[in-house]
Amino acid sequence: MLQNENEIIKKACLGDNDAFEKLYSEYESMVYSTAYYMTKNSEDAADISQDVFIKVYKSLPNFRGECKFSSWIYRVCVNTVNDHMRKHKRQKTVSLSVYDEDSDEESQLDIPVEDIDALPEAALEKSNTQEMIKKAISELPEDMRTIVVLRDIYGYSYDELCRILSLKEGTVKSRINRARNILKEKLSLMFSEST
Amino acid sequence: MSNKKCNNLSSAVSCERADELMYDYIDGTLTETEKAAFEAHIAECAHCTEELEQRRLFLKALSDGGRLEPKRDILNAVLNDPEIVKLAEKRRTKSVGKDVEKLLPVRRLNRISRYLVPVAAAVVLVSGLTMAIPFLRDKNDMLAIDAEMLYNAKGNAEDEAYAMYDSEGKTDSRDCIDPIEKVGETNATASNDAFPDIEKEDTKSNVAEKVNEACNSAVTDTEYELPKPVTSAPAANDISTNFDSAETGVPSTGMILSPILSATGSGFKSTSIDEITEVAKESNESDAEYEHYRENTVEYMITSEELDDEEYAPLKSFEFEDYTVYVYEYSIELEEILINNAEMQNAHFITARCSETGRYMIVYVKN
Repeated sequence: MLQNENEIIKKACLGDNDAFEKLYSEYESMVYSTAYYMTKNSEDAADISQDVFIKVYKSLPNFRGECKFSSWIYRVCVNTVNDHMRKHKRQKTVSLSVYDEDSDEESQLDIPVEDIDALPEAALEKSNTQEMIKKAISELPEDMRTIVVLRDIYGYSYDELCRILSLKEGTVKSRINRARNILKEKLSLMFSEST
Repeated sequence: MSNKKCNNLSSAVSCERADELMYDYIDGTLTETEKAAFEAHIAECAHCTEELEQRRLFLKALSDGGRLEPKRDILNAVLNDPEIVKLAEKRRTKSVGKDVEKLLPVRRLNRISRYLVPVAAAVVLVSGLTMAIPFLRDKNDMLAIDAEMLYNAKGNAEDEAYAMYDSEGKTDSRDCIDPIEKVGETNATASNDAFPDIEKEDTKSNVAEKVNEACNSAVTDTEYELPKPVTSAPAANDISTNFDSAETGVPSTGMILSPILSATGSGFKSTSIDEITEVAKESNESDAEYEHYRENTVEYMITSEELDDEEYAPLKSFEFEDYTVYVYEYSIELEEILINNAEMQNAHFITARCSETGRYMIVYVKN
């Protein structure tokens, strides 16, 4: 948590963009990672992050400090992801940014609709620890994925997790321990396969 | 835990039990008694000590490696978003000489104006008076005055709604809910309970609540803006050169966009005809959740003709196979309008991205 977070929020409410930048820097990664692990698509995650921070900017004066700002921004993020997924059930997304000018038109036309990062062969090609971890987390069941991201990557407390997810502490703990065991096993396998 | 067997038989905690307690120990959530017993076991068991170290390293790797960063500059995009620029300016102006706490009345006023402006927008749209839209935009000050009068007249109805919302035990804290979702939910409960006067006396306010609910993800804290017109829509046969021109300052993107934006180019034919079929199949599938979403969403009463209007001008439109294809500059508001438009239910959408020029909505309407 940022030092003097409440002061920073108040300043951001008054249109102080430096203050907003501090909030952004603190929560950028959490928002993007949450969106990525929910959508498994880096472009969608970036679009969602942008929408989340626009919503946060607009809605800051509505934040009354009755829960942690980290919980509040997480809720905004999850709702934006859900909205995005609901809307995009009727949509297909194509990424145009991978076009290589040197290639001929035919190869450009083969641009896959799926996120390149999400393709297993691309992930394996990169074959570094971060890619393996990213892949392993992405393969977790959704309920475990969320808890791992918030607890083990962003250090949310168990109290906060219980409140955000409306779960009892025992459930949160057993879920995260199961998730950790699965992840540890997956990663051990990935490492041994890669060496 | 690995299959290795621990030879430590003297400890009060077995290796199996130590395994169960290990993550809680790392998390610091063990009781003092459990912690002491666990530490006593670890002190005597080399295998569990090694396992503990491995788990710590694993959690450290997870924390470092699972943390992702976006590749593009999102902060810049947010702070340069026209709505945000305008809002920041407004907040800075209002903040001069004011304490933060004194902003509350302004916030109330802004919430009310959020109701009122969509009313005006809905009324205008429903009645087809699209000519009045520029007038509304120019008269924001007048709307704000009306909003203030409305607020004064309705008193603290909104706070009552919040009080009821909280008292119904739907949440421990209103702030833990997405503020935007909160507004929608509050309106939903408020329509019959907390805003009885509004519902009975003022049909426009009912429209406001419904429209607000429908567009709650797009409204701002201060005002609702209709989608911005595409002011520099290039001529249909000039789009590629327009994107490539020095005037736009966007190099090379014509190469990227021309196969997509060209009416006769093979881009659609080779890449999208299967996608169109696929999307068409997907869209025709019955989806209870989506239907529920649609049933609970007030549609913007915009006809296809109005979509051709300057206000919602596509960058380009052309015929392709059995479809008329429209290419729009992407905006959240436009997406909401297109997706919620009753006339567009047989349409299919593709969000096309280009890292240099932004997002586009490509809409296929079956002829």
